[in-house]
Amino acid sequence: MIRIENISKSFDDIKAVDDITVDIGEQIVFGLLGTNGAGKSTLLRMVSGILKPDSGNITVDEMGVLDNEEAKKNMFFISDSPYFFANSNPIDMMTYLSIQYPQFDKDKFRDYLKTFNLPEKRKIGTYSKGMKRQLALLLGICSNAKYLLCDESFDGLDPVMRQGIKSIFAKEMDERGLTPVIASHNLRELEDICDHVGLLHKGGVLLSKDLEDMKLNIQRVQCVYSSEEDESKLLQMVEPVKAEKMGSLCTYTLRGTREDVENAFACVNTIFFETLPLSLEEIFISETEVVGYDIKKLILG
Amino acid sequence: MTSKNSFLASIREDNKRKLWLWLTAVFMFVVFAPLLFLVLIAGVDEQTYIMSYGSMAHDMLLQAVAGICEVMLGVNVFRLFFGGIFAILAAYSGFYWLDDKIRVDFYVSMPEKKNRRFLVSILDGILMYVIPSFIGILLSHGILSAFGYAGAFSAADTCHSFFMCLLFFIGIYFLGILAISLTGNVFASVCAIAVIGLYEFILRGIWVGYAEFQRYMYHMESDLIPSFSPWGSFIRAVMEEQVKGSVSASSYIKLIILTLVVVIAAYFAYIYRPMESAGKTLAFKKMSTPLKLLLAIPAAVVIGLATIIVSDSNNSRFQVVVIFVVIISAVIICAIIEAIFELDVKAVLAKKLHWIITAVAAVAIFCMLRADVFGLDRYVPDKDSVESVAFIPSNFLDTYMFISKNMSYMNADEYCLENMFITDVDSVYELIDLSIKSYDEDCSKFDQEDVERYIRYGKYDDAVVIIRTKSGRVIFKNIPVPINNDRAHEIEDKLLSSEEFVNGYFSLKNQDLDLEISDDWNEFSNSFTTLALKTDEVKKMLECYKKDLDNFDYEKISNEGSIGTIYFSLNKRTGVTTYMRSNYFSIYPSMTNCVEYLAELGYEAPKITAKDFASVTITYYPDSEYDYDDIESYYSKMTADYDYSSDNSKNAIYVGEEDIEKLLPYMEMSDYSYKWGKGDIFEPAYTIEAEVSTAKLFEGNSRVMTNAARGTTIVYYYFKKGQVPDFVNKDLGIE
Repeated sequence: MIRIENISKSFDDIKAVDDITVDIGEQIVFGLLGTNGAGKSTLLRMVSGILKPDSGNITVDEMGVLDNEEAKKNMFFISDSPYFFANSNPIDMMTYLSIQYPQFDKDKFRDYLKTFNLPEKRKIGTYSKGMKRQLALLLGICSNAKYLLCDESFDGLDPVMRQGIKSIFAKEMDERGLTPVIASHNLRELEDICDHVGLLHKGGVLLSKDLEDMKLNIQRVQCVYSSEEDESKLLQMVEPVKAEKMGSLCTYTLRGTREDVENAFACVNTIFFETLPLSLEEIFISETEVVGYDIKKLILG
Repeated sequence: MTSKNSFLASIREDNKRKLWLWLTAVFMFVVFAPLLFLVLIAGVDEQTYIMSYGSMAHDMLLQAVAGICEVMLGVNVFRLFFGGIFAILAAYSGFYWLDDKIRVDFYVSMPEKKNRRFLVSILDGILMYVIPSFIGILLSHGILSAFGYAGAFSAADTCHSFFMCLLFFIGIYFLGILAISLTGNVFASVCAIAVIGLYEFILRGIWVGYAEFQRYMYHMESDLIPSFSPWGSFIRAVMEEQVKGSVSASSYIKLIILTLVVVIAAYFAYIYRPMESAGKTLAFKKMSTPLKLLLAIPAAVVIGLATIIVSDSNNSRFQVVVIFVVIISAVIICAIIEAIFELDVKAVLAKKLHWIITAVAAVAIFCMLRADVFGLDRYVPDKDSVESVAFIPSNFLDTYMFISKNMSYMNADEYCLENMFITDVDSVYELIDLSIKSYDEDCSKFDQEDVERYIRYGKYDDAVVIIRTKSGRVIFKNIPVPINNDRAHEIEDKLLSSEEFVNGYFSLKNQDLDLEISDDWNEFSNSFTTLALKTDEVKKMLECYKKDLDNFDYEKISNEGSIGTIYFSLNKRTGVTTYMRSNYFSIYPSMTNCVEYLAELGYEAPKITAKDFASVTITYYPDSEYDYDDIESYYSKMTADYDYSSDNSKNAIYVGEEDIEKLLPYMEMSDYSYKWGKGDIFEPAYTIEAEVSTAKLFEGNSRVMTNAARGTTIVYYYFKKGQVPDFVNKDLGIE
């Protein structure tokens, strides 16, 4: 587990990370969401042991990360602009990284290169931006580090590649307990890949929750009441996060489990009643509105 | 074992990415240097040496080869230059990633301890220097052997120079790493290398500039060389080697300690460098203000001092201008530094408080230095604390060559610092005291500092005094000894006639006479005649000279003109190599042993008659004659409306035998220049050029040749002070 406790970091007069406390569990895909300048990269760079926090403490599997070889062997950091040696090819990078990460799986790496159609002898300088990102991700995965810290690494990957990487993540998580931590400024990039999301804003954490928990605790309902009294009666029992009405069709976003919501509607007469799935975006809108933010302005552009 | 293997693997991997530097090293040390060495050695043509030097050809040839070896294999500027350049390149190659965020993210996130990454990088840099340069040295020795000069540069010398160069390389290499670690971009790193490397040099420049403007302070040329920088210490060690023949253990230890200090500083700067500083100017933000002040204040002071030196003006009005220059410089330098720190031109106008602090501090320091607030100009240590002194009469340049026991040429101050230990401190202090009082008194009569120069040249003879205290301090003073002061004469007579002075001043007195005398150029000559000397005659002459120096009497010699000069060369053999060192010494009438031996060799003082000259031209330069007691009016004339383009000199030409006959008793040959005399011996405003008669060309015996016969047809003479005949002045139209 990566434990981040009361971490703060300033650059000159700018507070990049402000007293953040987050736990990143194991074998989950942790999404780190936030606008540009929210502190995602700074947080990941501190977790990777690149930057020293001004205050607070970071441990990885109960080991401090700063200049700690053992702790770092469990982590692989892919920055937003992945670095490759000048004039190198994937095999050169593999050779170097296999010295740094003795557990590096060279065979698997070669297999993945073939799978993703990345020529192993071609100079990385001639790769496209997307290919470089894929390569960085494959190097990270094959390093066999437990925690893969990806800073905007999925931005710009085409859907097929995303799906491919997602499959590998799933496999690696299952086989060896890989824990990817993915920072992105775009919620939609993470929607289909993350298990847990932390939302950063202005250096602080707005929320950090399991997506499943969030999905379980918020419901969207469409219904047509038998009478206006029924509607009034229901609204006395629940407080919708969001309510819309088109003619007689009412749509509510309600906090609570499906069972809670169904029980509430069981007390009123409806002509039509249906629970609908919520997108991650809708869940976030609801969640951030609770804490007083408009997520559309934060991460949906 | 795994760790060791992975360490070696890291080194191997790191080297893969420094291939360009390996190629550079191989080109510099394995290809270029040995190839140049080969070209130089092959260019030493034996036949040319045989034709030019005859029996000396072999020695001269070996000397040439040894000279090439010194340059290419020894410790010298050539090797230092390439070593230094390579050290900076290696430092940049190993640590430039610190300036780039993307690389920092990559390297620092790797599971590798900072210590190990540092070690891998520095080892790579050192190996890149050591291996190619070692191979280059082996190749050079191979070339020497192939040309039959094996042993021209000994294995011990090779090891010594290799070790010295390695120390220098490590010092500069880590200085580069230190600079890169303290900064965040290439431009700042280059600036930092310059600042760290030259900061002490600048401070010393201020000190030297300060001393330059004082009346009684003195500095040696070597005072500018830093003591606390790898290159400065290295140059000092090399100078020591040249003088003493070897680098002392203390210098070695100092060099090693200094190198270690730079290594440790670089290590800690690297370890504690915040990784977010990539791309910024300074790695440690807190350094910015003190660093700016530490750079801007001395720089402004230096500009102030340089302004005075360049303008060559020293009056009080000009000082106001210079202070203005210092203020402007302080502001501009502050603004530029701030712009560099912030990497933003607009920042030139930021932090105006720093402008004020810098300007005030620079002006204060400048004024303190100019006004000698701490009284350093007149400072001499307490007499009781003095162990010995050296007294160097700067105008008494009887031997212009000061040669160390290791046969290196030295400056007078360097030589006397090493060799002269006068224990009569009371006399020296009395002389210092009366000289300073006299000069201060003279200077107090004038309100223009520039007048001092004329006074100093005319009424005083400068002497350098080196005071060594019991605690090991060495203080240099430049003392104007009054020419017309009887007590000063008495003290000088006593000091300069002392055995301590003679032993410490005349380098030939300490020279080993078993040394080989070269037969290349040995002669006794004066303006009129030349006597060629054989090597054994030079040796005998040196013995006579040493005996005469045992009885050196300053009072006597100060009233004598030299009768001629012995020119000779000493050979120093090192292994198979011979070095030649030219030298000369003057012979005076009171040097009876030398004079008698010259007579034995057939030399007679030339009996000059009017018939010997075709013509005599006397030129009078009125501007060279002035009354020092009325120096201010002269100075005013020279600075106000004097027309420098006009030639107001006057000539008188004498061609008849009768006229020349009248002149002869007053003419003093310039050889007889009374180098030990006190003040002006000759009339400075008159020069006499005598054209030798063609008849003289055929004079001389088998050994003593006239210089005219060798092509010298003009002989220069002077009038002694106060002995210009009236008819000459009349002929020149002087009232």
